[in-house]
Parts: sequence; structure tokens; C-alpha cells
Amino acid sequence: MRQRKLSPARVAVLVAASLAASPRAARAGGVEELIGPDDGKPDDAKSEDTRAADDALAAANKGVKLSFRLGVRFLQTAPFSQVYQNVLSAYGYTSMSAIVEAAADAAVSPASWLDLGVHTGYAFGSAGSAGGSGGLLTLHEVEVGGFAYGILGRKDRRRPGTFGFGAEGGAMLPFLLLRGDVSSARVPYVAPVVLARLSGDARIQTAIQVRYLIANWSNAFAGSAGLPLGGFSISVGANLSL
Amino acid sequence: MLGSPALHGSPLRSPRPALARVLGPTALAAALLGAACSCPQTQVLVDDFEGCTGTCGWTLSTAGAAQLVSTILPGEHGLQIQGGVTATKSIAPATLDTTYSLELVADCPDGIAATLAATVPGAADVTIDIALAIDDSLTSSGNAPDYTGVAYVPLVGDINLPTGVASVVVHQVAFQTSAGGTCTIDLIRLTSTPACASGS
Repeated sequence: MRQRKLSPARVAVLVAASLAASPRAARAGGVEELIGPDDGKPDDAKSEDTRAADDALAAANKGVKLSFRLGVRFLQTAPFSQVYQNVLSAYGYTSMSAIVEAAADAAVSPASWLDLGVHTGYAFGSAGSAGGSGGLLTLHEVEVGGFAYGILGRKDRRRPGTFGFGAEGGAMLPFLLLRGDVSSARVPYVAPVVLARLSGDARIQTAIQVRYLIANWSNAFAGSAGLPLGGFSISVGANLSL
Repeated sequence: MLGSPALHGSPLRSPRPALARVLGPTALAAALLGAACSCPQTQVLVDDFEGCTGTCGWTLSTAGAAQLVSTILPGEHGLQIQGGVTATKSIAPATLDTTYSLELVADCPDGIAATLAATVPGAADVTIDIALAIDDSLTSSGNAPDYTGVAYVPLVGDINLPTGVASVVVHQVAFQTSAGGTCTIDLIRLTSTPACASGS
């Protein structure tokens, strides 16, 4: 039987036809793979690598996360009264419109898109001294709460970071300290939260968090006015994935 | 000649360092700001009822009719006076004119009256009544202050001297509470109102 010799043009036509007939093989992309005896093995190996990386990412995503942040809270009176600022001004204090805060959070992820955790925080503010013999009026506030965040993009390793949103709630324990005398309370709070974690899927990420806290110490200034403890809070720190 | 080319870009002038160009206007602005905020305030009486006991030097028309109490905070104190009682305090004689005013923070739902006992040089002693009203000076944000539901409010009263008198020498301050209730006074200030602040 006479064997026909294939010209390069015929080979090209055959290869093109084979690629069209076999898209999977075409995705694997190799003429050798089309004509070799172990057709598909490199494709599987690559898939396994990808799958292993995805599994590792998923495992990391479901691990424990710790977040440590420092920030500032701009006390907003909405939706509460601003009368307290006038009371403080009458005595010669400043309105204590901004306070500094620190936070330490711990979370777990039942699903790759969900973070559930506990929040602890501390905030400090100063209203300065009164107009008389002085005496520094300071605010100390401890927060204990819980949160649920929906996280976007954590399954995709190619993203440079993740974003999330959710809600936080719990209790604030504020203290007003003046001339050694303390008044305190226990105040519930709730806050919508938007957060960003930068640096891709690294174990240590830059964490940025914005909250709008809603909380009010209704009788902070006895017989006079309440003290709204909420407002815009922005904090920056680190998020550790263990 | 401010626009003269001889003053601008002259090669004979030594170039001002960049830092000096920045610091010069900044220092000037700081000096002007400092001057605007450094209005001296003369204080004849400041009493915040802190660090004292009993009635903190105030004499009552009825003994035992007043006590120190906490006001807006446990660490903030005032003198609570029973209704109908007069509290007086002697002060070092000081010359006052109409630039002075009396301010206090008080919880007096039934009202309070303030008087100054003074002498007029070359004339008889006078008693100056001060009409106290809620201080409604605009806040730093330019809004009228809101004291809705507040017990302790700032009160202020101008010093109105007798006709033809430019100044008096004050030696005693007195508060009289209305009968039928109690009144708590805190942070009393008898001070001058600097002219540079009155226009602001």
C-alpha cells in the first residue's frame, strides 16, 4: 500500500480540524497532546495544582482571623441631641467632638464569604478643663460586641484584597472621669460596617474599617443632658489570618 | 513703587530662602491670631465650689439652708440653696465698669436674683441689681444654643451702673432665691468683657 506523504499544509489543516473538534484539548493547547498517547494528563496536573491552591486558600479563608486597629471617632449627634455640647461649653469645657479608639477583633469563617466574630475596643476623649479651678474631664469607653461581615472576593486569588460589609453590635461601658470622681453606664450600640483588607491573600493584611456607631448615654450629665457616643469611626491596622 | 521692576527680580537683592518666604506670612498670621485671642480678661470673682467645704465662704441669711451638691457630674459641685434664702460673699474691693458682667451656671427653676454691693467714690453706697437671663450667645458653629430639657443652664447679666456713674467699687456679691423651691448655683464669674471680644 502506497503511503501518502503529508505536506505541511495538510498537517496544518488536520490540526485545525482536530482543535475545532476538541475544545478541551484546545484549551490544554498543544499539538503534541493531541497526537500523543497520554492525551489529557498535563491538563489534569494543572487542574490539580489549581485545585490544591484553591483548597489551601479556602482553608486559610476558614481559619481564625485577628484584627488590630487604631482610629478616630467623630462623635455625631445624629440621631441624638447636641445639647450636651452647650452644657459643656457653659462650664468652659470643649465639646469633645472627636475621640481616639483602639480595637482588637477575633473572627472565624463558617463560609468563605462570611466572618463571624467578637469585637473589643477602647476609646478615649478629653473635654479639657472647666473655666473655674480646672480639672480635666476625660471620657474612657470600653466596647464588647459581636459582628457578622459578608466578605467579597475572597475566593479569587487574583484579587489584590477583599472588601466586606456587615453589622456590629454590643455594649459600651463609658466612664466620665473628673477630679477623681467617676460616673459610668452600660449602653447598647449598633453599627453598620464597611471594611477593606488589602495585600491579597497574604497572612497579614492591611485592614481599614469604617463604622457608623449609634449609641447614646442618655443621662451622662445628670439632670442635664445625654452624651451621644456614636458617630463615624475610621480605623486602620492589621488583619492576621491564622 | 510696589510694581517697580527695580524691586522685583533685582540682581542686587539677595534671594529670600524658600523657608523664609513660607515662614514670614505664617509668623505674621500667627501673631495676628495670637493678638486677637489674647484679650486680657479681668476676673474679680471666680467660684466653682471645688476644693472647699461647708458653704465655701458664702454667708446665708438662714443658717443651714445650703449645702454642696454634685451638679452635672459627680466631680462637678455647686451650692444648693433653699428657697427664700440669700447667700452673700464679700470680695476684695474691685473697681467695675460696664464692661463687666456676671455669669454663672445654675439650676434655679423658680428663679434667682443677683445684686452687687458697691461704693461710688464721693457718694453713698449703692446696690446694683443684675438682671440674669439665659446666655444665648451663638455657639462656635454660629447657631443659637439649645438647652431643651437641661437643668443647669448658663446665666449672664450685664452690670448697669447708676446714671452718671462710670465705675463703682464692688465689695460684695449676693444671690437671693425665690421662695418655694431650691436653687443650685455653680461656676460664678464676675469678669470684664474685653473690648476685642465684644465685636467677635
